[in-house]
Amino acid sequence: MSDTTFTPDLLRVIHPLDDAPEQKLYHADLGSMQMTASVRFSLVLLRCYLAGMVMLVGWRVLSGL
Amino acid sequence: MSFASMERSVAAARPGWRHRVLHFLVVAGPGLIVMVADNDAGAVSTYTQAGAQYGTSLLWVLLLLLPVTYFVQEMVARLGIATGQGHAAMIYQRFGKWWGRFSLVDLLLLNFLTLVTEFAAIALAARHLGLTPSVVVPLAAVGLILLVGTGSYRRWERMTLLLCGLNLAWFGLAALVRPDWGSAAMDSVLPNVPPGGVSGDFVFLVIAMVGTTIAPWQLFFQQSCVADKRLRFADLKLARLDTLVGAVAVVAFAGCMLLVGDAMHRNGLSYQDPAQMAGALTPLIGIVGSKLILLLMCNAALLGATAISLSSAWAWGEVMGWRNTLEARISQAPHFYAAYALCVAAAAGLVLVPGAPLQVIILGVQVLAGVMLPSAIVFLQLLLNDRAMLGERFANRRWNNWVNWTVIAALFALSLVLAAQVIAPTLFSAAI
Repeated sequence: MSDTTFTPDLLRVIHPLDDAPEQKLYHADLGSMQMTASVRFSLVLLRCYLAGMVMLVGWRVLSGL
Repeated sequence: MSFASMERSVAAARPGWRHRVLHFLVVAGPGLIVMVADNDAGAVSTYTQAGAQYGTSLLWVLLLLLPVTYFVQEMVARLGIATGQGHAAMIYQRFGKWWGRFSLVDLLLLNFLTLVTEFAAIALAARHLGLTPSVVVPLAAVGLILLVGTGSYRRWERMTLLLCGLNLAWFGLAALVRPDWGSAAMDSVLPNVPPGGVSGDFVFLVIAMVGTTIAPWQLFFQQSCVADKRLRFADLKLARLDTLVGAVAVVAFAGCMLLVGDAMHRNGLSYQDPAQMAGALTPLIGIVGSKLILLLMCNAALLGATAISLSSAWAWGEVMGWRNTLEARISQAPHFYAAYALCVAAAAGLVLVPGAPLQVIILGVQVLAGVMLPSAIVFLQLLLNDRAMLGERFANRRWNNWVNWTVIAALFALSLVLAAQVIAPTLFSAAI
């Protein structure tokens, strides 16, 4: 008898879209991330680097691979 | 695969593993789709070209990329589950409007160029299938718009997973070309340089392989997809498994493509593009195999196109504050669907203007993606170390940071090599 016991709730899986929304860790009050000056500087350098690289790749592509 | 609105009750017998399997099927989707969609038309071209030019010598690059692509996408899935927000929204909110818009413009530009290559591939395959591109390309565009416009995330996910499943045919094609399995296995695990040495084309192709395996749109796509699917904290472990399965699948499919290209190399056939390759291999794989390559090329392009257009539309919506969910009907999220349709229609329209050098555009886009990826990953790294938002549970551990900084350093190094190659094309001309 115990082998055939029907216990549907044990295998019940609720799709996330059917589940109640949960409180996430991000909320609008958090605002901007606190960044150190070095991180900010790194990001500016990164962008400059990317601009240069994009131009180089563009030149290479246009001149034929 | 995720079998939709799965609120199932099943007779209980050893509920532990069955429950976990069902839970996985419910959670799976974003990781698998983002990975398999990454094997888009450009990837088919890059991997088959790698095989055609260098045989199986570059298989080790694929194996090396497996953990890299998993670690990067796992972080995206974790961030999406923790915040319930897309990647563009997070950059916009945490780094400010300027960085948010800059990233969005980067993404939209690269995505658009990539989309052009997807439709160009569809046009090319259609031509080789004896169909009229000016009919097939608009039909594909309409199909892609209808795919997302059903107002149901689950319907889109099911249909997209079906397209992913079609990639299994690559295994059949790889077997059909009868590769040297022993040599392929050795080349997969032992890094080596092809007989011609390190040439500029070799370096360019390796960077293209990295660029096509880990693309910026993937970061934006998976995080938005996870947010749209509303994955919960409790789903994190299985979302990781979903991502791992996807990473294994994408590398396995890519390996098969490279083996098919290798058949060209072994038979001394010259390679132009995947469609020409399909024709050239007809004596070896038959007309059915040849047509299958063309159809898989179309499938790869369609899969890539829907994922890339969605990543653009989701990101655009996040930055502009539009409602952006596949659960909404078109009338409920008009801007989101209009952005998606605009991306698809503009790229499809551009392809119908004759004269674009397909192979140059495809390889160039993959390289551009490789160059722009470091930027996207730097943002990801900073966000995953945002303990004020994520707390200790979801923030990167020390080893996560080591892995990620190593990946970033490697990507920068590859980009610098590319720059050196562009500035001094003869730098790698001598065999090493």
